[in-house]
Amino acid sequence: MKKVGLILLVALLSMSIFAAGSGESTASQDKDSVTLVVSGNPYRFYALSETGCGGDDNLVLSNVYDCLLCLEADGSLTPALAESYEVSDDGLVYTFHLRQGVKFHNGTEMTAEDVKFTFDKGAAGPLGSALFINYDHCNIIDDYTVEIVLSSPFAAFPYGVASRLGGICSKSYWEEVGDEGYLASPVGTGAYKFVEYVNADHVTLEAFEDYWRGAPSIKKVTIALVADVNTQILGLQNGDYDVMRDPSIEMCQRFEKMNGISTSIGDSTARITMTLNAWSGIGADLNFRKAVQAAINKDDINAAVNNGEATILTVDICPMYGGYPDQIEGVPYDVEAAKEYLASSSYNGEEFAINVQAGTTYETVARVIQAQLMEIGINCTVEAVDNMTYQSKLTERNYDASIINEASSLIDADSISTQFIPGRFGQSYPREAEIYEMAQLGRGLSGDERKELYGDIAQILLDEAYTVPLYNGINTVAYNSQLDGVEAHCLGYYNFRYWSWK
Amino acid sequence: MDWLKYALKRLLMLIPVIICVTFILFVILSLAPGDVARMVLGADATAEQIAALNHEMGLDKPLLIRYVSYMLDAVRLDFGTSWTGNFDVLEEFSFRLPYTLLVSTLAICFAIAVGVPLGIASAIKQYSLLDYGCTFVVMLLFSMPAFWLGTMCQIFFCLMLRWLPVSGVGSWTCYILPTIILGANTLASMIRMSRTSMLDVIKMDYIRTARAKGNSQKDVILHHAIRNSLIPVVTQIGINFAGTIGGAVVTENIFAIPGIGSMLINAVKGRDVPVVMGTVIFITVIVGVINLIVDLVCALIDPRIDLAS
Amino acid sequence: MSENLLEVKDLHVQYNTDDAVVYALNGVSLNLKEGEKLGLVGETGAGKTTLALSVLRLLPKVGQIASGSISYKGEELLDKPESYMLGLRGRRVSMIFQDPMTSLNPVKSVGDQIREVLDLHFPQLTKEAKNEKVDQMLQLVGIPASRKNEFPHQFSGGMKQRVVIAMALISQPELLLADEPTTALDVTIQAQIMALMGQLKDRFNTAVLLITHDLGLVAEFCDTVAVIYSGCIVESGTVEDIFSGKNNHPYTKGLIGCIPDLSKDEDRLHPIPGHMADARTLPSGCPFADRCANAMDKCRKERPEAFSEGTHTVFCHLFDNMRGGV
Repeated sequence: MKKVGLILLVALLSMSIFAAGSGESTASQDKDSVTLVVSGNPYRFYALSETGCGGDDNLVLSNVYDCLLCLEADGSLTPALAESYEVSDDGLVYTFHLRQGVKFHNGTEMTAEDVKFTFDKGAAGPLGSALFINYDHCNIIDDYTVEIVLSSPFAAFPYGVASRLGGICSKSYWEEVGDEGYLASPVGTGAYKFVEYVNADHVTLEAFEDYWRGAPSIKKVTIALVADVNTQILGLQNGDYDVMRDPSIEMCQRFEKMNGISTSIGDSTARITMTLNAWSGIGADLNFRKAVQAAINKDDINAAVNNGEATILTVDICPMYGGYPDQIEGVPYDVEAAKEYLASSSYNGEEFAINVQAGTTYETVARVIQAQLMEIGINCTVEAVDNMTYQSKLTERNYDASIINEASSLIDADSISTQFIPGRFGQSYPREAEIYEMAQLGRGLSGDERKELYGDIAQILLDEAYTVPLYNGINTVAYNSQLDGVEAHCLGYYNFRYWSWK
Repeated sequence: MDWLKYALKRLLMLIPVIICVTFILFVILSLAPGDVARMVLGADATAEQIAALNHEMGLDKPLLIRYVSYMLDAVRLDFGTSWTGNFDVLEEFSFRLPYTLLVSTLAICFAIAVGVPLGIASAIKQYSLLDYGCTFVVMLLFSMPAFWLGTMCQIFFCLMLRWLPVSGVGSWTCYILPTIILGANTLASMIRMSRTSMLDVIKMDYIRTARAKGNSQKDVILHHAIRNSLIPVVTQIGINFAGTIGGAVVTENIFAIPGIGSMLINAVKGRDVPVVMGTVIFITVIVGVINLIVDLVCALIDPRIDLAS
Repeated sequence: MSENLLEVKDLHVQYNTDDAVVYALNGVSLNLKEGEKLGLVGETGAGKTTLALSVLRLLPKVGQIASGSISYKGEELLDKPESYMLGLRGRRVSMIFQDPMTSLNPVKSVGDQIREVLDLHFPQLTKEAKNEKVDQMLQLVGIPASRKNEFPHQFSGGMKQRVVIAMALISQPELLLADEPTTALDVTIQAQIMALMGQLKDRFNTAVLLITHDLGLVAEFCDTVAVIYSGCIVESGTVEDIFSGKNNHPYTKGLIGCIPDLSKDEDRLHPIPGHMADARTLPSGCPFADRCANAMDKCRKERPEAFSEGTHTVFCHLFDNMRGGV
């Protein structure tokens, strides 16, 4: 009676919601669409507004926009919207020769105007100083030639060009719709058009048939946003998802044993490093820091956390970075030396806390280190906290030690200076000014000179034991074996145009 | 129009509740460590840019002023924009609420539709196999946490049997597992509550009178016992509905449903104050309204309840 | 004899509880004619309610009719299926219970509850006809028809019992089982209710089995009396027979003696010493033996047999010699 009425009402309500809310199923039903599942939340699909954009957003940005140069999965740069470029002898002027006949998604053609617009606006925005380092201005030579002029040379500038800030946007479209309109409905030259974004549910991209490299094989890409890792794993196994980003190493091993799922593991651009407090408390004592440095067994950490898959770092620079100083030998693992350093320090049993993000592999890293330090007699604890707290402690430099994941869009040894930018953090390292000056110098050098300089910087860090580099980060991806072209990318995103079904 | 006055009175009483809850929440959020501006702009931002964003978000003003200005905006239905997501809080909430409400409602309906008849049947056939079976199931359901049950069901139904999709809201099949998982606790509650209530009612004198009038056992149950036994059950439903909206958080997380639960969790993790505050206010109002409806339904069923008092 | 409306012969009823078997009725026999008002008297636990419930087969699950017969208008009820009993209850044999406060369904209006009897037993009547009958009945019991949509909690105890009576009599049953209908009401209301019952009984010519422990009520209202003790009928007869003082069972004498006499100037009441035996054991011999001032050896060993003088029957060994023969 009344109960029946209530049930009917609910049924009607649900019908209407279904009608409104049911979009496409997240499982791919035919052989020209793919569902990628990630646990992030990309929501900024336009890089030039005041809110900037983040790493997760790159999943979409890298496919909706093209840069002048393309960053490949292994960290190399290939020509994209620029067919070629030259650098002046003094390293200040980059002349890019643009490809002709490249269409934006709204049909207009990409010209030098759009390039200048993108660079000017990007450099002025929140990410400008980080990604368009030393950018001064841009000259339009003709419709298909631009000159980008730097204030001082910067060898890694091309990586900035290929970064998420470098996705070429349409000036005329921006003049029509402004930042807000661009955010709501992005337009680029990339292989995929932005179709829709359902907050915290999925992003849909559609192949751009007039793409200058030719229409991509996969016609529809759905990026499903699923926070729970177990759900991602189950979904990949039962076919709801075709690709899963960043499964853990153990998961990769289990996937390899399963039929139908393949994995790809690659080096990322990140250094996993332990930074040490060198400005207050026991951290100010060099002997203590050298004790910590010598007591860490990086092979053990690598075995425990990455199953030995990652590359051990001797210096705080990844091997794939430009200017990598391969001539530097690191500090070897030496328990006896560590104990000696500790004895000659002023350590008196104080608690030594490692600040780390809870629930991540870095927490495991911290715990392995904790065991190693306790072995030489340091009273070490692990402070695993939530992301926000972790970040704020990092910024205020309120820690004894911290495990950090320094990913770098600029795949260059210059990144070693990020920890030493004056005024950026709550506290400063003693030799910060010196290191920063040297890094600035390195921007203008090239070749062996460069290597030597960064070698010197790296040596200072080792001598002072400011940081203990652990291993080169790894990116993983698991995917349906029927897919071709899926590869782990050093920056954690994917160029969907390489993918196709077998 | 007794009930109208009563309803209005109850709705007005929500206001002090909202003020109390939001103030406490506001204070707690402000005390939690973490710099939102830095989070939003990323690690590459400079100190000036962070300070500028802080100023824009009004974070450099004292706590009380921020609270009052927030509440004044809220009264005009301006709940601000998310700090980490670039969306309007009210808009986003109205987008997500139907999903949570749908799953919660389905879960409750499932629990009622299955639980109440089972409970009544157990009471009528006390000490039978059905009765013991139900008691066992109830204990089982009460002891299993949602996150475990959810993943287990995913493994069984999605992976092994391939009957259902593992997540999302694309088709109606996506709602089956979340409904069952979310409804499990309420199901147990319903079975137990209706069983107990029915057992009490069956012993009542008026049941004996009804039989003496010539009602068969079936008629007695249908026409006399059920309506009386449902009175405490309806109250229980109200309590459970409110709990289900909260419990939806875990279920939404596991099954990737874009509801308010997951929005709330992400907002708390990201110290996204407008979203947290807005969501809590909305949830308070919803729970208040649900309780009001439950009370009105109770008054409808039971003529002894006098709303004016 | 077929002129009897209700004939109960040697009825044995027990309750099979988890702890023990309770012997509620141990060989009860009684007869009721059309239109007759029989008072069934006894103290608490004697088996009065059990007898009434047995007639309608409304015993709880643990109750069991072990042996005996109940026949209504010549038909043996114990052989009949439940569907027959459904047609009987509320239609030809009605029962009203002791506590009016809890006898009515709190969520249904009194009009609905009275009309329910018509819905069950006279489905062919139209809605208007039923409503009219309900109104009529309400008026008969002294409740304004305008109150028929109100709920039980809005009525006083006495009014509630009137509603119960209306429910019981609306189908003009042949037999009304009234289980202590006025015990829970105060004395003035009691008188009203009994008067009402009397009127209606006359109007519809309903036989009444009045279960009570109040001898005064019996004297006023009933035609015949049966005294029950420990599940056995110990004496039966007309009201004059019982109250004449002649050939009474010792228990009956004791009961009558309990009633305070305002004409006498006494300080104390005269209760019957002792209490009823535990019903978990079957009585051997006369059930009253332990409390009887006149008890003999024989009383504890043998159940007394009936001694009748006209309409008056007593079960007591005191009258053995008068019965003649051993």
